Amino acid sequence: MRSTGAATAAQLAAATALFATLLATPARSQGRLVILDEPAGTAVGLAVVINAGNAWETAAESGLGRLAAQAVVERARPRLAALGATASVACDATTVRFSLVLPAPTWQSAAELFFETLFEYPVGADAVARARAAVLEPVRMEEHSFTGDIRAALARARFGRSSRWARPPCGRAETLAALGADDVERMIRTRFLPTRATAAIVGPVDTAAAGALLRRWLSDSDLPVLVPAPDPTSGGHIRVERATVTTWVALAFPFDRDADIEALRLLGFRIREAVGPSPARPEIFDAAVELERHGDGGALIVYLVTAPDRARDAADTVRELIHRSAAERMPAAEFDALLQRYRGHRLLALAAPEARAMDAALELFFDGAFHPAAERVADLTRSRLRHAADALGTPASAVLGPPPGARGGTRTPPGADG
Amino acid sequence: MILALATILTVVVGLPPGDSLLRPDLAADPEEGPAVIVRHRPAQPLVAVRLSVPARAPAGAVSLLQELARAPFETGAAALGARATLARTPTHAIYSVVGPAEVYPEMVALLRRAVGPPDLSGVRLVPARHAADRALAAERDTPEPLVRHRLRQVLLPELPRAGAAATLTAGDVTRVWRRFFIPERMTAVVVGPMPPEEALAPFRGWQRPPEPSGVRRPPVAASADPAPQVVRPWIGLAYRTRAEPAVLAVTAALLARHLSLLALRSCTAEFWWNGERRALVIIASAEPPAEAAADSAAAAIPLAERLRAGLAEVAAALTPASVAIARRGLMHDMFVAARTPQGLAELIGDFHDRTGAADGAQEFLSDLVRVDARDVHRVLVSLDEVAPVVVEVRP
Repeated sequence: MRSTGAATAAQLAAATALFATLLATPARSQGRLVILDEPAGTAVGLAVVINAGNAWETAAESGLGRLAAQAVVERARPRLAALGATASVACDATTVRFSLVLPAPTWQSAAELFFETLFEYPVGADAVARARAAVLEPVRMEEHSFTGDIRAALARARFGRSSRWARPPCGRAETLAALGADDVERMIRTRFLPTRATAAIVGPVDTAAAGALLRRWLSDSDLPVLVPAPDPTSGGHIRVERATVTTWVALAFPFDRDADIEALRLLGFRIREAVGPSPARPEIFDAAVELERHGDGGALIVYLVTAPDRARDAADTVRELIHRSAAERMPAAEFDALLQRYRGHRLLALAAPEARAMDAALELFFDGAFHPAAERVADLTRSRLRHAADALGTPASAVLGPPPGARGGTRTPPGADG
Repeated sequence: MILALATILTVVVGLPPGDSLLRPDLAADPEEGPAVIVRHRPAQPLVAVRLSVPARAPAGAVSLLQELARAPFETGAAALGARATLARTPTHAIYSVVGPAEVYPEMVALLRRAVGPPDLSGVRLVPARHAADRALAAERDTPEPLVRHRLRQVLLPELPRAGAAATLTAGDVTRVWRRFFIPERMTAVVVGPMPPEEALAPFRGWQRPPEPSGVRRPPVAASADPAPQVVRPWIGLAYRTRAEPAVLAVTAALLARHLSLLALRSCTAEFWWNGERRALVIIASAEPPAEAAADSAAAAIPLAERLRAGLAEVAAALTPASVAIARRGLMHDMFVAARTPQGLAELIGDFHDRTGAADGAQEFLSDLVRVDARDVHRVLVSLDEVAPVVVEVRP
């Protein structure tokens, strides 16, 4: 093996001390910006979360925020690519989120270029056309998929048919096709504003330089980002009949503004482990758990794909597990093992700097403060898990599957709910 | 005392300057146990370990050994909150695990068991044989992997035949394990927050397996290429070369960009590198003949000819700027791939497997910076003068 250099005891001691210091002083932030200097990394993650989801859009402009964000990315893409950087967009009812991966040597130029495109220059008709092409295809696929149908049904069960919160988070193909470059420019000018955003930079950056860059483009005031909230609703139920050989089940357990988010994530992890596909549960084909947030709380959402005749049992298992989690503390050894697996799950999900940047920007967006995920996980206890489960409300639910007793049939037009 | 067991060849501690983002902080070669290469990443409480085993044995036997280890390796990792993966290159069996740094010793213990004596009970051996053969067949049951496989057989004839796992006996598997799974020949790459010396400890004192009994080599059972469904012609061109890997990488990137303009159904240009053996490889597919004929006059030119012409066309269009763009693109790709602990461990380990150097990835990066248009032009001209190895898969 080849030599790569030499070391001194002093260097070793200095590095050990630095390591200890880094662990002892985890990053925190109270403003709108987070900078995590992570030495020895090779790439930088940049996340920007903007208060511009479809909860702000009229029916005629459904998806405009998503389209506008994609247009920003399309406008910047060629120059970002020359710097080795990539950008992507995600959206939901309350946020439009930009995520960038920037190589360490070019991160500063790439970040400047992105913010210039986002806040200074018109995106132009060409970028809007490219954005429309990029956005329309997945939206059309979602509109014609059972996954899209069950999500839409659950949203209607939660918020009512006419609520803007019940619309697809990335808009409808019909409106996306009709929106023009002027609409996009207007959205960017009026919604994509520094005062409506939180941001985070994570990676091997010079903290002062990163701070100066973010403050130049974004507000670092302590004013809260006013996240929209839906009108209070109670849990409803919608059944959608389709010619499927499996049944989709969706349950949304609401939580309020003061909910213990990390404990709810742990609960979601426990549910996914307990009801997910396994050799012991051949009737379960897929399972997913999501945590959706808005300005007044949010919901723990569980999706299951099951054999039709076992759908009710599967939903009952989820309800029972939450009830049990709320009623009694887990045995200590069982909880420790669960927490061990959850810690790994969270750390692996945050392995890339752009994932840690997005985690930080979203924490600031919803909670107004940031604590590193490892610290949040380390603080979890059995009592917190119990209280988090206890604080969940009555779930809204939706089921998509064949009519009771049927084995297939014709596809019912969307909206023909039972 | 424990430290004394290790022959520390290199210790470089401290934060890396900009030109050493991929350089390990420590490389050690203990007397008993795998060589260990450590990259200290203090900011994340996550550690990735990649253990590579040089195994120039028939792929069927190596694949079977990995399948025998898979279930306990993966479930053991899941219980720790970690993720385990198995992979195989033509020359190495790779065992990787990534998880919370606090369970690092337990993760290494899992690795040690995974490369330790195989469980050859019938209940494990039979399904493992099937899984191994399925994995081997998957490498050849679609046209593109089949082209690669056939090119590899010609370009790297020193590699053992793939073989099949179905007919291997418990005795065959034991012999392969004893011959190749010797800890001193393995290399572990560790990327994580622990001080480098701490990273070494769990790798010390790994015992050698007993010597293989007898001289019988594992039989290489016939494993005919599967007959993939082919709907359009595929072709592979490989140019043997002794050019420097960094120059070849830039050349392949430029060629890939140029060939992407040929309106083919699929086309890649890449460089293959195994020690001193190197090749620039082009793999492409075109429309089926009937559709192509109606499409354009250009399509009437044989595909191999169009691809060969690409070398001269790239050479003619070469500029310092185009080389700089390709060079930067490759560097950026490496930085992005190395942004996670597992990505960096894979990068350092893969370069080590090819070069035998702990800092092979960093050396490659440093060489890349120096590649200029003249280097690339020289390679393109030299390749254009030799006949490539050609492999075709037709409908």
